[in-house]
Amino acid sequence: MPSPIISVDHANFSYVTFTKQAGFSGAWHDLFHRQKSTVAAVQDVSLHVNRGEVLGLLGANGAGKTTLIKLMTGILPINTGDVRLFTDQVPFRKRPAFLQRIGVMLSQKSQLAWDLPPLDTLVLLREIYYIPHDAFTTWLAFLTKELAVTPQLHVPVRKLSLGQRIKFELICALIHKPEILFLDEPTIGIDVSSQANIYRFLKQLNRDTQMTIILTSHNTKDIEALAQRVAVINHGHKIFDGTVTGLISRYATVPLLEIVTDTPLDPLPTHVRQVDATHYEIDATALTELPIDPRRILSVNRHNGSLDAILTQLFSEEAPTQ
Amino acid sequence: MKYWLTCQNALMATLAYRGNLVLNLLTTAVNVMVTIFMWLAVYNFSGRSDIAGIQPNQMVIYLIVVNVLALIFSAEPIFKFSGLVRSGNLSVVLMRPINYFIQSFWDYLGRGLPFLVIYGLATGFISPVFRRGLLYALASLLLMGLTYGMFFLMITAISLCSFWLVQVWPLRPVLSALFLLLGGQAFPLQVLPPTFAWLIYNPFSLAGNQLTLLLLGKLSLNQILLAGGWALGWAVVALGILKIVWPRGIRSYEGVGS
Repeated sequence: MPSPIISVDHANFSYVTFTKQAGFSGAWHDLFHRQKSTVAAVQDVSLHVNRGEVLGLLGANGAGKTTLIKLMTGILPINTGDVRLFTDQVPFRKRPAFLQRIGVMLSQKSQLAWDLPPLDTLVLLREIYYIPHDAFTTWLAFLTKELAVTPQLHVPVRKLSLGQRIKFELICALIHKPEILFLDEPTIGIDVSSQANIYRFLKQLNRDTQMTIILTSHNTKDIEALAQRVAVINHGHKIFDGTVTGLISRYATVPLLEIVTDTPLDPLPTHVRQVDATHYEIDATALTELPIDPRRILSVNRHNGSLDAILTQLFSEEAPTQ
Repeated sequence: MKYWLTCQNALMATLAYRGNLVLNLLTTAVNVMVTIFMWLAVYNFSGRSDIAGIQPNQMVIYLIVVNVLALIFSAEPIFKFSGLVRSGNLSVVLMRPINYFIQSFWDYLGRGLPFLVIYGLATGFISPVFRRGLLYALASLLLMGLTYGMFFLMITAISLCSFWLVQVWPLRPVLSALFLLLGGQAFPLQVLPPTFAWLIYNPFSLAGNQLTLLLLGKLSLNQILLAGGWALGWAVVALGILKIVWPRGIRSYEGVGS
């Protein structure tokens, strides 16, 4: 069995932060006695990713998923434990040979020079990554066509829309054809059609080149569309590692059906609760068959079967369990 | 090539904001005019035709050149680096297989290029530097190169405090004052009493005062070599600080923001 392309073993990372007291007296006090506190951002996380896998990291704000990406890419050093990529590369050493093999897109951090067109940054990246000119031209033409941003190549970055900028950030991360692509919130601020375009493109890339993709997102659509496997991070702990369907089946415990009908139901059948005029909820455990004429049903959804509902339930739990 | 492109992009970014460039030059011109008028008044009211061996017309040229040098030797890398650390954008730079300092140097060069061209043209056409023999010309070029590299290293070493200080803007007036007083931007350091003569070898003076005197043809070959030696010494000190502080800073870097 081939060794994993990413191995994280019992990784821990914590950082020191300072708390400030409110008001003038608090500010005066803090001037002489700053109160330090240590935040454990990642706690005993182990994770192994095989070549060609698409792993989604899910978690609430501040759960530790971006910190985990920073540990894997070498932006941050781990306190204890071990992180290795490509079997023997320690990310924090940032060897050029290692950096040549990874691509990183941090959605809120820009690679693009604000005052210049994206092409200038991309040409700089061509030289940084020693990409032959012909290969660069062909690959760039392909990427811009697939992401529908060819006309914007010569427009100064400051004049691009958020969506166009994010697409160019993605192109920057992909321009040297990395073996592992790290994407932090890749579709933030992007419209639905562009999101679909990015999903299709990344899937195709993963299928055609066996590129390993590590993805974090608040948007469960990103994860459902792309990830073959998900790891759920909560309060710095990994609380789940498996497939999306595995996650749903493990945590979907109270089945509730959401039904939308063409006209209001009259009389209201038993075990059916009316939400609004044509919108109803049924406890699926209480019935063996639907008490509504199927010809009148416009849509049926298993309410707690959605990833969103499960994550809301998971992240609202105060005490995480390993 | 990659570093040359960095330089080119920095130059283009500088030229992209033409208004800012013109305003910067205008502000400098106003400052120079004020300083010149002040010195002419000093000459006028003191009734002396030279102060510390410098005549009024030489003082005017000195002040113009030293202020152009102040534009070349800017402290901008400190604030740029601070911005990278504070916003967490340093993460993007760290993910590239490049040497940050070399890239930053070429960026610095690109941003200062318009003013370097002015200084270069003045040296080539007005100054006697290249009319005093090959050895003198080579020594002068060496001093210019060494001083430029030293100042960049010094500023970069100072910029590393950004790893621990959230805001470094208080340094801006301090550095301006240092260049104004220790760099000879407001007056030639030669007007100071002899007990302060050692001040001419501080990094700011090497960048401002000494390079101006070089352009004016007021440095002997020995003085050029001595200034070059000091520039090399300061460069070694700055390099040492960088070697020690960078690994510590990078470990304390938190990559704030998502």
